[in-house]
Amino acid sequence: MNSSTLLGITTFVYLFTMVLYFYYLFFRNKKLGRTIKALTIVGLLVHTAGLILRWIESYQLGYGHIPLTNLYETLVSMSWCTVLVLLIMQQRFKSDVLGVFIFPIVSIAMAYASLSPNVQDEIEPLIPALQSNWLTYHVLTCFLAYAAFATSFGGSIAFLMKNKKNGIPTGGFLDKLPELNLLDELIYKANAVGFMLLGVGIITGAVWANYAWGSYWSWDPKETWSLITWFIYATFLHARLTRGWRGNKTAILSIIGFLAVIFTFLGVNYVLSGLHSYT
Amino acid sequence: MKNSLLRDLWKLLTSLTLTIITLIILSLTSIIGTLIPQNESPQLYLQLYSPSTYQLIKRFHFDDMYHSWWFTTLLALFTLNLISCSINRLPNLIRILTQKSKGADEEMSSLPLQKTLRIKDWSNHTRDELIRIVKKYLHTSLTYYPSAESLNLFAEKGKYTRLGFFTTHLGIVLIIIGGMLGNYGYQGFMKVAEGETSDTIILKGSSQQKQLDFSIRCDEFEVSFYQGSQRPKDFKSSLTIIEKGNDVLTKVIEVNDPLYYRGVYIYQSSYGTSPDQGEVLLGVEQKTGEKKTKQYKVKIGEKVSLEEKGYKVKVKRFVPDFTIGKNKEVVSRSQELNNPAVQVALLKDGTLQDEQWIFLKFPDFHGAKDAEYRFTFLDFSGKEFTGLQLTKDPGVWVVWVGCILLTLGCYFVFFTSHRRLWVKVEEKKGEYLITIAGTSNKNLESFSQVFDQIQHECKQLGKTAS
Repeated sequence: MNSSTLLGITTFVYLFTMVLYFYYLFFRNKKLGRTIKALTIVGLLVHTAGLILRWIESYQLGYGHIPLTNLYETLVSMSWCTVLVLLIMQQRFKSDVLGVFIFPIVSIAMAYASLSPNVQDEIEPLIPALQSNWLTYHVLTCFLAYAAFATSFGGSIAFLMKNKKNGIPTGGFLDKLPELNLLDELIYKANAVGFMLLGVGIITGAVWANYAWGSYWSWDPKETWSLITWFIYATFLHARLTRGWRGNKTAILSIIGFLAVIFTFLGVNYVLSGLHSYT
Repeated sequence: MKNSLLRDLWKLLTSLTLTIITLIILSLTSIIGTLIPQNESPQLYLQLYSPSTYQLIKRFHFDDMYHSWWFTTLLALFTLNLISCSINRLPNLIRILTQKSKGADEEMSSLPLQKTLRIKDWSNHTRDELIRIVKKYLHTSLTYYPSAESLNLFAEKGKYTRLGFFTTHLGIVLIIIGGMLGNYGYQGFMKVAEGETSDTIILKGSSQQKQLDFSIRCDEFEVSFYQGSQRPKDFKSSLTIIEKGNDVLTKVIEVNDPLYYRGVYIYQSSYGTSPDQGEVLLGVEQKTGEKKTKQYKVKIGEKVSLEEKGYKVKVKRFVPDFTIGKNKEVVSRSQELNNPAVQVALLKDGTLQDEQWIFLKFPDFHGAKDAEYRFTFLDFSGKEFTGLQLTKDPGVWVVWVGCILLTLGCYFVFFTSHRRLWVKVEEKKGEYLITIAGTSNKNLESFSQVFDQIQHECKQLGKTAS
């Protein structure tokens, strides 16, 4: 058994979870809720095992690095962070349906990583600039931030859908979503956590860049886009905390923020070039 | 008139609308610089864009937009707005931080969390118990005014977390100040061959030279590769700093482990082989007659006579990483020995007979087919040089302090709150009324859970007493 097999299994578990989620939305079935939660946890455990095994394999190949260093690894690790944060948020906000907005993203990311011919899944040696502990701190904080933003994105979509019906019970799946004020709270909390983590991610990146290249900030496209993303969430937080914006406006702002996150994570590497072009 | 103008200006500077607008404009304009390459040569821009577009780029400084006057102005406006907003909130903040609670009666009625309990007995013991319960949850500051039959108590926690926004903003201002101080430093590049010493760098962006007040000697350079591949695993240089003729410091540096000397960081940045002093080992084989390869050592740019009279071979050019450029000319892709090639010329009595490129890694490839001689590129020995980047940034520590304050501030803003609790006990018709009221400046939901816990424990107090 190698890491690719385990991560492949994870992909299928997640895809299956996604299908179950859709089923769960339209057909009320209490047992299914528990099955989905169990399946998510199983998926996450296999996922964790896959990542650890890949880490071990990299040592066996003589490279020895944490699986955070190419597109395949970042997609897989990013998905891991997202599922973890989702589980925590579902627990905190006592909702078992938020995953319906998150699992399509996670499943697509995992399937794309495993199946796309554009994504190399070989373990590669690290160029000297990447051989640093700061790699772990920097990438992990950024990914946890992205995961928090993904959850707030899910919450925002849920909020907009539910708010369209003014929160009145419709007998459909919208009733299963948390109450509007709870969703609003979730969006705020997730964005606050994400904002701080992204800040720390940018800072650890700056410390590392200063140590490796002698300059903490060079307006490289990825840096600039992460700053843009941070500005968008700063706008969200000020609008909400200082101006008291609630509801649709803040939900839309946090959706825009998440689009910036996706562009920062993937778009920059495909469309633009710079220091981060090796990931 | 003058006063009202100033007041309007202050109002504008302290408005959140201005903050949101500058944040949006900063975000949108920042995108431009990620689409248009920054700080490149005019040639590159003209390859990418039409001359008229290039003129437009030049006019708006889009080729170096993050340092342009208009982007700097935007950043300055953002900073001014940030400072003004922070100052504007300061008086109110100081008032909250310094004022003392006047006790329960005045403030209790308007608070969001309220609960009244009744208990039968009241003694010094129950009073101490009640204080203990409150202290368990809000321990930092406690003021109480006990009398025999009543209690009036005020407790709070996390008062100074109200400074969170101020800390965050101060952090951002420090980062910007540190960035500005960075302009008083420099960044440059230096190549030093093994065994040699240098004290001049080429400044980044301007290609001007700068003399340092110390010099650097490269004692040794070493590069290692991953097994069976061309990917460098590690490269390191042993450097010695020389000041006024004395060796003062020696350190082995590698990528991610620079050398620090008197405010200057010296980074391992690249490496290469110097083509200037290299020597090429050529194999020469005469096509007619006996097929025997003779070897010649030739310095780059020099000639050597072959056995046959009148014939000479000249090594005209050397490139470490051969490739064909845009205009079909030979260029070197990098300074590393990835695809070393030399251009050799065959001369007979001083006139050019033949000219060709030969490759170290592709010995079977020959440009000229019908020449009298066959040349092969057998070996190359050149001086390896180390590429060093030197940075002096007097503002970097200010930036780090700013980063720490920013992170701490964010933590205080999002994850802590100033919680206040008032408790009043008074006798009424043989019973004792305990009124508990509380508030929190943020995250009232989570404080209400603590509040419930407190009142639950106070209820127990009544039960044990009766």
